[in-house]
Amino acid sequence: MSKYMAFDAEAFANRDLLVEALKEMGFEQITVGVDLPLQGWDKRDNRVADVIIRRNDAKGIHLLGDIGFQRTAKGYVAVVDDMDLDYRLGRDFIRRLQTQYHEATARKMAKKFNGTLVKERVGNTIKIRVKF
Amino acid sequence: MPEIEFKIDTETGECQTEIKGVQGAACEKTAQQLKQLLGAPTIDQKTKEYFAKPEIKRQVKGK
Repeated sequence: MSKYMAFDAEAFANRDLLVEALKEMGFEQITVGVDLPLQGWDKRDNRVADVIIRRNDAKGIHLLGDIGFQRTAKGYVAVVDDMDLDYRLGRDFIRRLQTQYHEATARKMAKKFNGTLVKERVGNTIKIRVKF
Repeated sequence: MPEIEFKIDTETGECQTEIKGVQGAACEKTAQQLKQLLGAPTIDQKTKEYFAKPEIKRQVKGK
């Protein structure tokens, strides 16, 4: 039997995998909580999030504001300052995070099934096979 | 050998998964576990292999 599925949402369903993906991107200090206030944002536009990279914890990147992920019905959605995306993180920040998140998912499934993982890259595609 | 194949497009962020060689309810259970981690899929379909019936060979003994 076989089943095919495709996922392209910019919401991250699992908090632990989101944290793992952020760490893979080089963010070592990640704050986790519930409705934590984001710092560095305009006081007229107070924002809260549940997974946060504090701007002071992002070494080597001079962020204007914290990077947050707020829990929604669809998963954790990024709350990022537009200026940070344009000038510090890059507009492809979420796409790169998605890639790391999907790789973390493959690793978790391999562990769950006590399987082996084979990864190869062909052009813009990363192909991972989890055999169990 | 059962496997899950992930194809991650680094340009678009899309991830395609295919569960191969997993029978019946176990296939659906594996799909459910993937959905819990990846969220709701934009495409969710059974492949031809899903509907394939196992081949039964008939042996006719000669008299």
